[in-house]
Amino acid sequence: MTEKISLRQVVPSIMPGDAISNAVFALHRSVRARGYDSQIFAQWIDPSLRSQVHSLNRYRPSGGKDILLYHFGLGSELTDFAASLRSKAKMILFYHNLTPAHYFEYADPLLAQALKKGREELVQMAELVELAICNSNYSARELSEIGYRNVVTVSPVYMDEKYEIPPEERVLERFGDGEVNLLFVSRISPNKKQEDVIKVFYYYKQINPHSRLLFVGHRGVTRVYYEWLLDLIEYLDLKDVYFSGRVSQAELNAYYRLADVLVSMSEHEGFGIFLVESMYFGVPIVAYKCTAVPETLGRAGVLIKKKDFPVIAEVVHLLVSDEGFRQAILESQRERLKDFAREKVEARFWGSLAPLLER
Amino acid sequence: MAEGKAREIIEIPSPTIDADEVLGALEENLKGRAHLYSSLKRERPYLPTYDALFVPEPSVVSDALGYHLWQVSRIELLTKPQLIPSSLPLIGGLVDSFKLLFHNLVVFYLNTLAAKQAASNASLNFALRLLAWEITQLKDQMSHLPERGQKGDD
Repeated sequence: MTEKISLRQVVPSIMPGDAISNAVFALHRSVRARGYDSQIFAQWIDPSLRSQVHSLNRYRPSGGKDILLYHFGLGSELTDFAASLRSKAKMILFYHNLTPAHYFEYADPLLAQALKKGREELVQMAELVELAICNSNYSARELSEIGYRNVVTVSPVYMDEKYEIPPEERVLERFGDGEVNLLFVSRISPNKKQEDVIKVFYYYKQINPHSRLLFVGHRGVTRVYYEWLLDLIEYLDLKDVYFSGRVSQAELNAYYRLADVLVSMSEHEGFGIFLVESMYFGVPIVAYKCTAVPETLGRAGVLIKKKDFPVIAEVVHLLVSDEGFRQAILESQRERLKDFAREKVEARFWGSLAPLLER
Repeated sequence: MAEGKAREIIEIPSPTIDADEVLGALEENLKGRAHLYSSLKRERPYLPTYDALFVPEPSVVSDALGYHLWQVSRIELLTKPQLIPSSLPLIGGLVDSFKLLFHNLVVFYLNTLAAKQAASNASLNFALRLLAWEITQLKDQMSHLPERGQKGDD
C-alpha cells in the first residue's frame, strides 16, 4: 500500500474575500478532488472560517509524505516555523509577491517593517524549498534573481462558482440608476494609487457629470492613506466618490455587474486578480502598465504608459461612448479569459507538482 | 494617423483593434476639450500625490503651496460619541450615562485646545501666504534683471 500524500498549506492569516485566502481554498478543493489529503493551517483565522482551517499550533508532521505549501506575502515568524519542518516535509513556496516597503514608510510603518523583513526571509528560503510557485513571470523573475532554482508560474485564480453567486440586490438598487460607474477593486493602499484614479475621475466628471467612482475593498489597517484620499476628494470638490469597505462575494459580484469601466492606476501588482475578474464580468479595463499588469492582461484591455489624467479620462469616455471600441476591447478580454479557465490553471498546477508527488 | 501625445500614453495590445483609429478619435476629443482642460489646470494647478507629501519635488513646491496651505487650515475634532454600550445587567444604563458624561467633558477641553490650534494654523497660513506673495514679487523683479543688463551692454 502506498503512503497517503498530504498537502498542508500554511498561511499567516485567512479571511473571506482575501486574494491569498481565495487561492488557498481553490487549491484545497482541487487537491481534495484528486483524492489527496489536504489541510489548511493559519496563524490568524477569521471566525467564520474556523471550521475549515486549523490553528497553526495544531500542526503536527504526519510522518508520511507531507508536502508543505507555504503561502508567502509578508515577513512573519511563519518562515522560521516552515524552515524548522524542512526535514519532515517537502517544501513548496507559493510566492504572492512582496509590495516594496517604501509605499508604507509613512502610512503604515509596521507594515513597511514586515515587508522589509519579508524580503530578507525570501532570500533565506531560497535554499530550503524544492519548488517555488509564482503568480506571474514578473514574480518568477524576482525569485530567479535571488537564487531560486525551480520556479514555475501558475495563475492564482480561475473562474469558479463564487462568481456565479447572485449579485447583492441592495448594491444593484443603490448604484444601478443609469449613471456611469467607474470601478476599482483593491484594498485602499498607497501602492494601489487610488489617488490617481480620483484624478482620472476629476477630469472624467467634467466630460460626463452623470458618473460616479466606486472603490471596492477594505480601507486599510491604519486608515491614514484612506483619510488622505478623503482630503483629496474634498480639495477637488468632487462628488459621487464611494468607498465600499470590505464586501461579501455577492456584493463584489454586484459591483462588477454595475461597472462600466475598471480603472487601475496601481503601481505594484504581483498578478492583479481584479483584472481577470473584470474580464469575467465583461467590464472593459484601463490599467497602468507596470509590474505584472501587462502580463496578466496579455493582449486585452487598454494600457496606460504615462499618467496623463485628461488623456486617461478621454480613454474612459471613449470606452463608455463608442460601442464599437468597447466591444472590441471586451472581445480581446474574452479571448484572454480563456487562459484562466479552471482546467488550464489546474493542469499547470498539477504539472508543476507531479515531480514532487512521484518522488 | 494620430501623432499627438495620446500615442505616448496609450497602448492597445490587441492586434485586431485599429489603434491608429482609436488614438485619432482620442486626439480629436482632446482638441475639442482643450479649453476645458486648461481651465481645470488653472483652477487646480497642483494635483497632490501622497508620496510628494513626504518627499516634495522642488519643481512643484510653489504649486504645492496652495494645497498645503489649504490643508493646514483644516482641523477636525471628533465630537460624536463612539461608545460601546455596556453589557452589564441593571446598571448598564448608568455606566453608559457616565461614559457619555466623561466623553462630553473630554470633548469640552479638547475643543478649547482645538480652537487655539485652529487660530494658530490660520495665523501660520496667513503668514505663509504673505511670504508666497513676497516671493512672487521678487521673482517678477528678478525676471527683468537680465533684460536691463543686456540693454546696458548695448
